[in-house]
Amino acid sequence: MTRPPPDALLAELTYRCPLRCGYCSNPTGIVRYTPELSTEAWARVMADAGAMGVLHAHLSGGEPLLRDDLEAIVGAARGAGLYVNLITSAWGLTEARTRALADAGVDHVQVSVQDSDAARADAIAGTAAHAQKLLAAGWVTSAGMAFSVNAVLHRHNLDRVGEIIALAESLGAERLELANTQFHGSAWENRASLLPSRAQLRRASEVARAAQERLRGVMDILWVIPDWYADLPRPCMDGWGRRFVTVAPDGTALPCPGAHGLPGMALESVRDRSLPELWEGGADFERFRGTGWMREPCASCERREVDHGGCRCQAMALTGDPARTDPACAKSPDHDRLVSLRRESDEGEAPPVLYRITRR
Amino acid sequence: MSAITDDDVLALAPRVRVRWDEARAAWLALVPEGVVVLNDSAAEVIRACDGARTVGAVIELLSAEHPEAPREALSDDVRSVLERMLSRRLVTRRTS
Repeated sequence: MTRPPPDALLAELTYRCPLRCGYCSNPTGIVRYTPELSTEAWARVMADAGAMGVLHAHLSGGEPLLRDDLEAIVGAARGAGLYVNLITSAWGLTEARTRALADAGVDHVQVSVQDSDAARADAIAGTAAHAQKLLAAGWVTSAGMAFSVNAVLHRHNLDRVGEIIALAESLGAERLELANTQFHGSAWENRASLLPSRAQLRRASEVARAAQERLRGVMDILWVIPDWYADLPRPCMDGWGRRFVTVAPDGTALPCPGAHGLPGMALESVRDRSLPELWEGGADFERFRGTGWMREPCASCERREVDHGGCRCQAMALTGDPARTDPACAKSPDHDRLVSLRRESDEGEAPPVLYRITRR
Repeated sequence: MSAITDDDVLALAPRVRVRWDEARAAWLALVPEGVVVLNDSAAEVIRACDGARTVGAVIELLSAEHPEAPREALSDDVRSVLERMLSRRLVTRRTS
């Protein structure tokens, strides 16, 4: 293989999910992403990934536990030498299944929490999911797997970041991802409700930084300022077709999990061409690879190989053209659109959050 | 963090998996959020930390494999590699 392999495979095993979080980044018309790949097809994806030099498999969704062949898919990934991360809400997990997943080869389990308080968390998830997570934490660690917590942050829980950190600490997480909402899928539809104010963000940032200091060597805390307030674009996927490959539930191979929403994509599937073939020469992977596709102000920007032009999906959502500079960048000619959305959230009242949108 | 002694026993942290990677021609320590590419001496040291050998025994083993290396320098190297790996939580320590 001439091109360096991706470091990680994001395997979105299903878009089905019992939770209905209003910030879900899954595509809103999920019924289009069926039928789902079979066990055998996923096993082939894992074998190909291992052979081409992929190191990590992130098994995600939707809720991957809804696949009753999850253990077999895990086994195939581990058998291919991949480090297996399971990214789950823990909904429906039992102690026996936790052990079965550990035996199959899961290395690390990341459990989402919606808030530190059960009633608030369940209100965000739209279902009673919180209590299960507290049990799952104990099962995962006693089965010998690494355990971390992911909390998606937004206007309605950002003021409680201190309590969320304390919860992750009490659950024995070795890592906590404080992930400010990115505006894709349902989150895009709900952006006016979810976007925090600048003052909220500043307070939360201070709490997170202090906790990072206090918990050094005990629990790693990942805290990233959301790009809507950073004035610099997020280096989305660390560059298109550079380090990551996503396979959607129906087998579509994508440079990023949001890319099926862009116009003009070929949306080729691992049912028709192998993963290495698609990575090497698939039109979708070539489309925004490197810097050749860039226009000004990206093309001559000194940060073009740092930011990689930002997020193509965000460019599409805000400008209608996925090849424009990400409007999160202060140099973007479209930056004012983002600024005016931001100002509304900073000064105004937020409308209520609608639950995850699965049809459109 | 207290200094590493010859009686300490070090083991790979549960979250870490060490393997040879053909595509990158290197020993790697895989962790949930990424990868640490190990240089030759780090790879030898981490693979010798099996959760049973003491640091003293690790030094013995590597010393036998590298008779050309001065003992003092080798043992300093092993300790400094282990200290770095402890602070990055690639290995855990048990004092016997």
